[in-house]
Amino acid sequence: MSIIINLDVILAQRKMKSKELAEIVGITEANLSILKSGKAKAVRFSTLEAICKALDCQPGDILEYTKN
Amino acid sequence: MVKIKILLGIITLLIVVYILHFLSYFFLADYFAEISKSTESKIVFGKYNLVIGLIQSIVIFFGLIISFKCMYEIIKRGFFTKTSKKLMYVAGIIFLFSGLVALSLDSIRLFNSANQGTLIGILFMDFLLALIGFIILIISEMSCIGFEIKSENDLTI
Repeated sequence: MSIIINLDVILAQRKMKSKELAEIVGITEANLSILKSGKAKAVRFSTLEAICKALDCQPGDILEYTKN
Repeated sequence: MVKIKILLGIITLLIVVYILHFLSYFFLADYFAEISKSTESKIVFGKYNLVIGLIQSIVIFFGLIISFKCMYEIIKRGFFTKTSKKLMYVAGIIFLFSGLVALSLDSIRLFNSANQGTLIGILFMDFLLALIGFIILIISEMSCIGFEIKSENDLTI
């Protein structure tokens, strides 16, 4: 996939666990894992907003485009 | 889901009727053989009518079994699963094929028979079977699209 999710990097920087983030955002750990692994087909703006709010970051910090 | 369960019940009933129909071939073999002998000179396909009828029944029975499995899968796992869309497609093909074959054979019988009134009614039933098969094929295509949309939705976080 051309869009890379750098969630692990931001989680490590914020010293937050996936389980904690999932609880704050309101999604299941399984769905967060799907997002982190790049298997997700789409992300809702509401979810992205909740993640950015929880991690105090910008969408560009989490999402990266690469030319494959 | 209630409608699917009702449909499953109807299909189950039809399967039971067909099983009894097949059992009758064994228990009333002499009776059918006698009828076949007495009518073979009067009707098209002669002594082969019994065999043709049996093969048609077996094909439709197989279609009913596939339909049963499909309905059961939908009740168990919901609409738009990989298995249910495949089973629906197979059932549609079987019923369409059976209907078209029956339509062809009964059309031949119609042109060679004096009892055309009854045969026209049977032709209409064959056409309905083919139409049901075709409708099931269309529904299976919709189920394919539904499966894709559901998969994408499941992977939308």
